[in-house]
Amino acid sequence: MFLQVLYEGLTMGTIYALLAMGIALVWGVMNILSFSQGEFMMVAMYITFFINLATGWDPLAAMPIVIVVMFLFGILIYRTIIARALKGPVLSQRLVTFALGMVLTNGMILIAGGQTKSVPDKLISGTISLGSVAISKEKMVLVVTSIIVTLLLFWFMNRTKMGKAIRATSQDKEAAGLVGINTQTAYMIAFGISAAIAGAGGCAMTYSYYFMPNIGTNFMIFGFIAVCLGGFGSIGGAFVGGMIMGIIDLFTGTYLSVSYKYMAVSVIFLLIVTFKPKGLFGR
Amino acid sequence: MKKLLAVFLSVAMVLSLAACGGDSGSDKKDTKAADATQAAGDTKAAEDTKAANESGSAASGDTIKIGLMVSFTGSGVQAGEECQALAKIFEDIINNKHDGVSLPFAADEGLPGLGGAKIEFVVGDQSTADIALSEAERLITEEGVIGLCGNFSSATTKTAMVAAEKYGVPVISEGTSMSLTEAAYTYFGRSFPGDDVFIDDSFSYLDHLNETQNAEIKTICLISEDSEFGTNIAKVEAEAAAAHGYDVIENISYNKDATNVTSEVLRAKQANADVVMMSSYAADALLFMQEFKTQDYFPKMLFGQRGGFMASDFAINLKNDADYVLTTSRWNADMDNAAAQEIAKLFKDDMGVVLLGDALTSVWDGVLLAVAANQAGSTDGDAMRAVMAEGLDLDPALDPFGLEGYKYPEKHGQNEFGKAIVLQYKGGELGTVYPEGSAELMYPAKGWNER
Repeated sequence: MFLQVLYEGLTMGTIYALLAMGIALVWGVMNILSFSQGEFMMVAMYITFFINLATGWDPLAAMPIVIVVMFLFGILIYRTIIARALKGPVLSQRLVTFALGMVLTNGMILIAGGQTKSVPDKLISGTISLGSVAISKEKMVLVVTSIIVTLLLFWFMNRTKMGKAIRATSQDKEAAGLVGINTQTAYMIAFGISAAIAGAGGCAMTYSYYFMPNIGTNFMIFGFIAVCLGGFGSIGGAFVGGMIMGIIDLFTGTYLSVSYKYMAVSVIFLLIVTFKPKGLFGR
Repeated sequence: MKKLLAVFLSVAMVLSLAACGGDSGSDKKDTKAADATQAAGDTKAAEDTKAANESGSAASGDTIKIGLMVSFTGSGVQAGEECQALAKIFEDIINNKHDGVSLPFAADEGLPGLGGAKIEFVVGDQSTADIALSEAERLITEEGVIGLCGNFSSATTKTAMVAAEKYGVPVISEGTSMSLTEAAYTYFGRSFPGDDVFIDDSFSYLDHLNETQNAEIKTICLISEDSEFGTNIAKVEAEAAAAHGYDVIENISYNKDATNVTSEVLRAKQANADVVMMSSYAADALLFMQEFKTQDYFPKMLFGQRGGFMASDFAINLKNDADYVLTTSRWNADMDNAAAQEIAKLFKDDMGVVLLGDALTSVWDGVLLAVAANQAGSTDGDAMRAVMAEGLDLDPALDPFGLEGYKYPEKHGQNEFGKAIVLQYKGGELGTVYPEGSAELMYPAKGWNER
């Protein structure tokens, strides 16, 4: 039972981590709270669904397309909304993604209706039994996706010229501009990558979740807590924060009481904020 | 180009926010509703509206409006869309002559008791309790509805009743909480059972299985969402289990907006009760079913208490994975009467999905309000309520539910003839297993790998 709970906790953690990394990236680079990250994930789920409906492609086959579409969608949102909001008052900057999230949710109700959707007949399904642990192959898709996305993100941020430009912009925008970095492009690419992460996450989640337009809202609060746990602006911290949340959620719910699991997550959050106000890996 | 895109996105934003209200005019109406709510604090305004309602009967050729409360947002959107489609069907049946159709007023054009007045269902939002209050006020004060029905929950019924009592407008709601019948509302009616009857019938059915099929059901695991709906049901279930001699070995309460229910399912799996009884909405019921399958766990019997287990989203998404799930209900498409079969066919032809009991009940309550107005010969709330207390004059052959009658005593508003049935999914469709006859119970349920 212990190993089963641990596995399920890590699986849940990967979802929170995928959400949290996108939020941490946007906050770290441009100091915007991405309240719409959950809705980006929802949009990715629907794109996956419509691709499956039109072509019969499995979510895994559709994933590269979904990631590219979400990246472009992120760029579009940045250029038309975020870039303008960044020139406005701080409150507008903070709340613009909140409004965007509502638009995406209700826009999806207009487009796809309020019904619950699912992607049928997935390529990978079933359970692997390892002793007392039953490993769901569908959930394994989420775990593997999360690990690959995290590794790719680290590689991009640390090994590529654009990644380094984004990091430089996040550390000191003016200094980055003085050494010739196009900070607006860095912002735009960072927002696009954040949406692309949601794309990968949303696509993988169609393996394990039924979804409707408001599904993103339910996940958002946990994504933010994971970011706070790991530390705002730290992508690695966001990943660890997500994992911690998943494990606490599952162990408390299974061994203490289901009623306490959210309280336990909140207590750990309060403790970390009290003793490490910037989070475990915050700058 | 960027400006064009910005304009486009701004328009999209406005349109999608308008979608929250469900129709193009809803923003404006919402503002008016808010104003009306404020004005309603003025007793005189309430009295004026009530007096207007009391002014009486619809003249020949008038259209009388019935409020249909549905959810515009959240997990009830699909059910709301089905209710609206069904309301259109009933409007057509009532307003136009349909020879050979076994449904109320099909043989006439309009309501004969009101000089042939047509009916119109006017839609209001009841996504949350607060919205239900302001929308009920708007429908009564601005649209002039003669009564309210809809896909109410117990919580939204309570707030809508505040407006209904103030303006003297009857409400027929299937909110199942016993607090509704205990509140002694003047204008409240419920056509079908409350939680107490549904749950007692559920346990009586388990008794019946133990006696007739040697089912050996002894232990129960309760899983309930933690809003008023699930909390009330869990309380009544625990009491009924004790009264019927069953041992509740696990009692799990969860948040309906939960992003995962893994720990809940692991606890249920560890408890391994003979029967898992659940009260859930559609989204969380689906989440549980997914997790049951992931954890390779299915109890000998999974018994839902309506809600999500009766939602079309449940059957459409799960297909055969819904098999073996039981649920209490008020109606099912396999009921053996002409009215049931006709309305089920009309709906299937229109919407392409199977008509479920909850949607039919929600709109049928509106038809019953029309019956009451027709019988009273007036749209006055007090006259309609008096007729409801006396008993509605409805030919049982025209009733898709096949009830003996509809009589809503003034003391509590609970129809004396309401009854529950038990359904089970087989091949992705619901069949009536109790009263016995239409479908045969599949028990014990097979595990996921044995299906």
